[in-house]
Amino acid sequence: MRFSPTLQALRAALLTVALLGAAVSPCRAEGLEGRFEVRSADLELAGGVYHLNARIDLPISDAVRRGLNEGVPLTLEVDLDVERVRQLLPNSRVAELTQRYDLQYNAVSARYILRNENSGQQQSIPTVDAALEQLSEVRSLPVLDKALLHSDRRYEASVRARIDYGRVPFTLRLLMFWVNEWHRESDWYTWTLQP
Amino acid sequence: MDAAALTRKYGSTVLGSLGVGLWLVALLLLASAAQNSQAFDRWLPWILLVNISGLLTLLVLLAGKLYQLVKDFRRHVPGSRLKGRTVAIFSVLAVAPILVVYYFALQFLSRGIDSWFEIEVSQGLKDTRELSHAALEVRVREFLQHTQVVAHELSGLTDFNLFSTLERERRDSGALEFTVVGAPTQIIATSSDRPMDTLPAPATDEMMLQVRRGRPYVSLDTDATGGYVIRAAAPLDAGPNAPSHVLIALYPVPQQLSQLADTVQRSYTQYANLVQLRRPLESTFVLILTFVVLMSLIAAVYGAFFAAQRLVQPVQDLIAGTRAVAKGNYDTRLPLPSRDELGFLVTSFNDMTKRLSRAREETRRSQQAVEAERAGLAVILARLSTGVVSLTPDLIVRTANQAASAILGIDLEAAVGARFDESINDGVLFTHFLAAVKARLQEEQLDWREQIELPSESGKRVLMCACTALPNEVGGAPGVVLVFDDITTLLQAQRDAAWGEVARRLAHEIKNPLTPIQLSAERMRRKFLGSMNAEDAQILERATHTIVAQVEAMKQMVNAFSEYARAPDMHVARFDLNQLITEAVDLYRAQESTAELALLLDANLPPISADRVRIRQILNNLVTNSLEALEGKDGARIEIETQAVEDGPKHMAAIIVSDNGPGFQRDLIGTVFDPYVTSKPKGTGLGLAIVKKIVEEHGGRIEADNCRSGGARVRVLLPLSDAARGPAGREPRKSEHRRERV
Repeated sequence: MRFSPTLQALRAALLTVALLGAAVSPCRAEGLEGRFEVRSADLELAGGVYHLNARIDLPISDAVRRGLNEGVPLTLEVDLDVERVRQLLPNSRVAELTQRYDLQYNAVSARYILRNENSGQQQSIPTVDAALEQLSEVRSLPVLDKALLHSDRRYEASVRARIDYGRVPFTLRLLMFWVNEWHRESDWYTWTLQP
Repeated sequence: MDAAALTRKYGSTVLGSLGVGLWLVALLLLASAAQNSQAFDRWLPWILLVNISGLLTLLVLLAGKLYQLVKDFRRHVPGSRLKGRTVAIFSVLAVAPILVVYYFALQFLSRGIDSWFEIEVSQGLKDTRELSHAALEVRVREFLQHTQVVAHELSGLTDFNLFSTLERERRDSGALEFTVVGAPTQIIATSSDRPMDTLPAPATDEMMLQVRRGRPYVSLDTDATGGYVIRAAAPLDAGPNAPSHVLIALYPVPQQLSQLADTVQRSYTQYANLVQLRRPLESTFVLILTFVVLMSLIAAVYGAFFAAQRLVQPVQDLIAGTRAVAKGNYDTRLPLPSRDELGFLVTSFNDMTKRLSRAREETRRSQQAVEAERAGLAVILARLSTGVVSLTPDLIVRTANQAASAILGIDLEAAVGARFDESINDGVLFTHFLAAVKARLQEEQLDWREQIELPSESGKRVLMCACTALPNEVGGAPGVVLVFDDITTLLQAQRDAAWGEVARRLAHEIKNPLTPIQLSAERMRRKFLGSMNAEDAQILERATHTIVAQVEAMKQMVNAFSEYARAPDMHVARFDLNQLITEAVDLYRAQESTAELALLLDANLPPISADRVRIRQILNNLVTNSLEALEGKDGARIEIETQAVEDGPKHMAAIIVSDNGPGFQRDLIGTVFDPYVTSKPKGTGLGLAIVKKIVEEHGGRIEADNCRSGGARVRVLLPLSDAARGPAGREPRKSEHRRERV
């Protein structure tokens, strides 16, 4: 079929746009892999205070491990939400807590520094596996005073984990909104809490 | 306006407004999302959706424009080719620079970002890290050795001496903290330079595991303030009092060295972050650039459509206007696009259509005037007693009036548009008329006036015909108009008047001397007959007898003339024509005529209104005429027939007298009714002339011809009533009687 010069020019323009789109699409970098979730969680009463124990599956890929070894920080946030269950009305929030951990490799000391951002405590860990193992376990984290809960009411506790890989300036995040490899968020892990 | 038309008219506007609206919404969402990270996460899908929707809207708009252009192009819509070319040129002019810029920007981004991560930078950072590590490593080993020495010195000391020695050794070594822990991590003694509320550095599992395996532990750690400390651990020598004690020492790193190490660490971390961002950043820039270029391309092409439409619209209007004018719509007015050259063209077009419209209006009015004039002329022509026929150069009948049809005896009005000499070929009179006219036209005589004598079924007809050339038509031969009048009756009347005058003069000049002549001859005979001898008396007797006989004959002739010239003095009454004929014929039968008289009378013939005496004279003249013609013929037979006939709208009674005699001479048929026309030796030639005169006085008609089997036949048509007779045959006024009386 023969086309007029106008149609040929339009056809060439459309083809160019299609090729450009195809060239841009493979630019995505590798992201975190695997399922990121809260495997288990519970609140343990000790000394009149509820302590949080949680186990989190961290889908750390080899690329992220290499990045950690190069000095890219990894931040884990654990959100705890305790709500009183009501029948006809929406649940009312009793307690809300976000625990933030920061894992970063110190190139000078050649050790991994795991820092509790809430308390300021930090640990020096020699290997990345030990550091990740440490990060995936929340042990006896005091979160709630028993006095805030009433024994004759029913409560729901939910835990969620969020992980941020790297420190990307917010403006860059705006620009790179389509790249989501450095931020993951697990589903809520919810269980019933009976004081 | 139906839905499709509304969609075509406002579709682009609605879609364009939607696109702009979506773009504004995207900006609002982006501004809202830029406040914090969570808002960004929440709005991110909507921002993406709105942006994609805007892009799709633009693409739909562009696709719609392209589809419309292709459709118009294939349908050969006026202006579509020009619009297509304009769009192509504008698109190329707009798209080519954008693509060039895009290519170079892509190259710059790719190579520029790569240059940020040159291998020297990475290697330099690694070397710096190694250098820092080496510098600290020396100090770390020194502190480890010192810790081992102190642990050895503390071995074997009692708990009381342990604390004092520990305090002294810490001060001597400049350490931040010395702590001796037992199993598993029980603090035995501690000495610290740090504030009192600071707990001793805890023994980590890693540390205790390594020390208990008999290997000293040392590590460079960071404290909570970001500074560096050296943590070392060494077991005390085993003894009865301290079977598994471990000395944990915490040494400070000099501030300058710590700051340098911290700087190295931060640079290393930042670079690692940058390296991590390298690919996504590059992809992001490429994506943003591509998106912007794509939007620019679409906007440029759409703008090309818009500009082309603005340019082509006046041309399309002009084409549509020209077509409308070609179809006769001179009221077309085009909207003025601008005051440039196209605007001048449109203004000129509007002026032209305005003038055309005005001219057409004037033409229409002129045409109406001409039509009115023609209608008036047609009315006049229709009322004329003169026949008028106009012919084209090809002898096609253009117009003909009723009088022409009546004179020529054919329906000429029905022949308008047909050839004069081909479509109409019936009628003896018309055939001869056509031959006479064609003969003159073939001689290219276009202006002539002539009296034409034409034979017809009812005798000779005389037409006064004039031919005049019509005004010459553009590029063709002139047509002609024929104006003719039947003057047969006029000529006959003139002839009758002349003969009447002759008759009066004869009656007056001849009849008066006849009586004295006759009386003188008789007196001469009476006076001299007796006194003369026999021979002379015989001569006188014969001479006077001849004179008296001839005078008597002359009296009869003068009486006949007197009768012919006599003024009509009619006494009209209704009577049965058949009865009159029967009575008249009975008289002839009583005279023992040699000829057989046969009657074929129409029993349904209604009574006739006429002068009974004159009608009887008609019958006498006709029967006498036939008897004279049949004189001496064996088997002579005269038939008298009556019929009720329709002559046009008139109800007529026909009297047909025919015989089996020799008939009329062919050359005299046209003039048998003229006075003194006769083929008989004794005839006066006034018998049929008087018959014709009486018939015409009754408003009737008379025809003479020969029968097919031989013999003469005269057909008289008389109106049955006064109304059918008309004014010509009504009783004249008394004054006219007196004037015309001889």
